Amino acid sequence: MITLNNLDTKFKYEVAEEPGGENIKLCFACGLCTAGCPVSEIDPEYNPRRIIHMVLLGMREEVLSSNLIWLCSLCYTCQAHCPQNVNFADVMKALRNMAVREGYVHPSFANRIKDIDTFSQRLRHQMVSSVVDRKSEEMELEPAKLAEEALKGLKTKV
Amino acid sequence: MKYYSYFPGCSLEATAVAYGLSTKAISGPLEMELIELEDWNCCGSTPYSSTEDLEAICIAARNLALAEKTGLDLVTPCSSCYCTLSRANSQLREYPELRDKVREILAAAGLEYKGQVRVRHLAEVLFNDIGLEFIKSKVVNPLSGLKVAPYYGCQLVRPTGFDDPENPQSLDLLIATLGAEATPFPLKSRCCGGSLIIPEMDLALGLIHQLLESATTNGAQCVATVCPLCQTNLDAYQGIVNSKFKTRYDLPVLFFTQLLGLALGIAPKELGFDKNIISAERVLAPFTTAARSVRET
Ligand code: SF4
Ligand code: SF4
Repeated sequence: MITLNNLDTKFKYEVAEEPGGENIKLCFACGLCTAGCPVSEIDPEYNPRRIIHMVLLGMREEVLSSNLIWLCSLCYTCQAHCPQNVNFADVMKALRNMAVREGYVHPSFANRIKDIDTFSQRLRHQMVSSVVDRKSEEMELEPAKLAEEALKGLKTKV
Repeated sequence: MKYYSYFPGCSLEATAVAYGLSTKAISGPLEMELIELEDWNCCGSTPYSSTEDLEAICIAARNLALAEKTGLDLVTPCSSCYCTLSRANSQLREYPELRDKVREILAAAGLEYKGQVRVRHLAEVLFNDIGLEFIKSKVVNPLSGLKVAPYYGCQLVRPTGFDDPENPQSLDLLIATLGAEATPFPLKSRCCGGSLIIPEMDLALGLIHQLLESATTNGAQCVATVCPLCQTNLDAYQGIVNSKFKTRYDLPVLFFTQLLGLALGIAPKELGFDKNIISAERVLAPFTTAARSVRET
């Protein structure tokens, strides 16, 4: 249920001020973004038009605390389809940045993101050094093992 | 000879070693001098841009500042680097406030970026600068009869891109230039899931499954890709897709530069075919033998 008093009318202006967010107010809810979205096709819960509409209505809390904003793969298909030039992938990045900045993201979730980052950095480091040093031929051949190594020591399970 | 500043990106030194090897191998015969950007760093395409956008743009801007000093176009084979560096480049041009902040941060490292660098993807450079005619004249080992699914993925064609965002043709034409056949591939610019494979594996596996299905039902013997992320997702996760969806895909996923190198008569070993997880040995057998004899004569 939407309670008018809980709506934050400034929300859409803030999003529009983020780089890439400027055209969000031009959305006329045609739904082409959702129709072409590969993520929506697999998980219909995820619906870009709906998210844009929630932003325009000012449902700040619902949007920024939702897990759905983390499902976008940033493939830019919606943007290529949008007749109003809404730059939705950048809007998505803006929403994620706002969610982190404003503490809407549960600390465990923020930690998980950090872990994923550490994971990919470590994986890269290990792969690079296994190639550079040529010391561990068998590791070079086993990406799965490298990934396992990189996962070690991470606090949250990825 | 054409000169470029070369940005390999992290993936080419890790999961996509074969892409780096094959890019270096084809540059000589195609008369490109790829001069590696000195002291480059990660392009910034990690979860950064979703959590600390300013930091991500600064990381990219450092590379742009270094590249500007060379006066050459900055070429990268990685679609993700291409997208991240181009995005930073255009945002720095379009948003003065952002530019001021980044200028200050770069200055602390003794760097300055004036916004002059042209960021380019290797596929675009081959298509526009080197040209299909010239490439064709260098083909000594035509890949006749090989059926290749041309996979563009997202970031080569969206959001900036040089080809149609939904029905691109450049890679199709390049494949034909090598004597091979580009198969119809309706999902040619569909997303592979990118880094969602780590936090949202099921979702990404669904996307990968659709791509493999589209490629195989249209008769492809292998996939040619322009992106390290696409390559890893389709190659390394094919087995997991098979067990999850009860399928039996056995589709080699190659970098387009590997096929290009083979057609130019470069030895398979120099093109990193042994680094691909799904072996392309069977599919490429007729051409690898030919490459060897072309080379030896
Ligand atoms: S395609 Fe564009 S105008 Fe249509 S609903 Fe999506 S964002 Fe709005
Ligand atoms: S960028 Fe995000 S919302 Fe847009 S089509 Fe791709 S996955 Fe869907």
